[in-house]
Amino acid sequence: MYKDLENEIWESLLRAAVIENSLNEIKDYPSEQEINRIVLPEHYKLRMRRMLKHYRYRKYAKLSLRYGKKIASVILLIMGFSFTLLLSFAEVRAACESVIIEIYDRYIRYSYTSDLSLENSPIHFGYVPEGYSMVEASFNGIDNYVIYQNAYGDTIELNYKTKKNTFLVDNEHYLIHEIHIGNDKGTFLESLDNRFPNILIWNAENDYFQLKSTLEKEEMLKIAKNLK
Amino acid sequence: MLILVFDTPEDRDKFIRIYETYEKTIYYTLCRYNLDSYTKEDLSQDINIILAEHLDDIDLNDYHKTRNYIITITRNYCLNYLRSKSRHPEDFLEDISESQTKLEDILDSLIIKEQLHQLAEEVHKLDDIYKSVLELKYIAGFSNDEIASVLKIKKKTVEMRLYRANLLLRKNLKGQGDV
Repeated sequence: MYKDLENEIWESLLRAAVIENSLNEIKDYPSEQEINRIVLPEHYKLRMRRMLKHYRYRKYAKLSLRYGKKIASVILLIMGFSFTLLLSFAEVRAACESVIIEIYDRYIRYSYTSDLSLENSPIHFGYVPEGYSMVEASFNGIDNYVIYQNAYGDTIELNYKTKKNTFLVDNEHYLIHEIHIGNDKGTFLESLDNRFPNILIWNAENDYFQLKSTLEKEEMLKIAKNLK
Repeated sequence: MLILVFDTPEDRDKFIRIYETYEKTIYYTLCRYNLDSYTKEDLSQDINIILAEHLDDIDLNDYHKTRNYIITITRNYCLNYLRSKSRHPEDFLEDISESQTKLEDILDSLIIKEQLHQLAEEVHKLDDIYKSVLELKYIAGFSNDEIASVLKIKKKTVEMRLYRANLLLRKNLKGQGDV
């Protein structure tokens, strides 16, 4: 009880002291008349006038906020119901699925599409690195491949097609470089993982080529440039 | 952009009267600190918004009290702004022992000597961070939450500053009593 009284007295004294100190600190303020003679800068006055113009009454501000929230909730609900309703149609589900897959593929795969549709004559290697010999070949006029191998089991695999083709590869394992083989544009996929070969892809006239090997880029380009 | 919010048209009229009466006092107080013109405008706007939120605490019939109220808010808002700009960390205070600050002895000393001004002097000597919370509490009548909002600090910090200000004042007064 006594302690509470002491605290109250201390509080009152402190309040009085703080007020006294504050009054002391503004003792050097000019008089009201002098302060009223101060000319406020135009820009300052303009800003304050603008502030005074833009005011709201609390109840309207609260009302606007409350109705704003309600309207937003209703819009979200309508959108949710509409989407659920649309998903009941197979076409919409398929469209959504394809969009999701397309977005997913864009970030995990590199896609290369040739624009060929015509058949072409067989291809021969004009240059083969030393130690490699042909171990397998298939030629059906549309989808062809030739495989060369050396004594260590390293391979050079050439696929060439005379039809429209799309090539997909996980881009997390490859660095992608644009290259030129003669006048033809192509892509060199430099493997970042020993488990996967380097890949060279390009179109030449009416053929789509894909060369896979563990050889260096320059060596693979040399093979590509010397195909006949 | 911050917008003034009033409960009623009467409140708005009251605010306009306060603004018209004290706008130059606010400006003069702002000019006492090293602020550029744009900062003065920003701070003035903030201070007016604080005043609009505390219209009930302002008595238009008491010019000097209201003037002191407005100067206190303006001064402390400026000091707090300058402090936050300079990014000075809060000074670490050495522990102030409770035993040195026994209220009973200090009150006796104060009442017997009737030296309230001594306490005011000690308040004056306090660091600005302590003076700010004391002035906003005792002159502006702000709650700890309101002080925290004006000074943009946590309520816990306000409580800690008030507590330390009290301890410091008691310690300093006790020291004077011993002399």
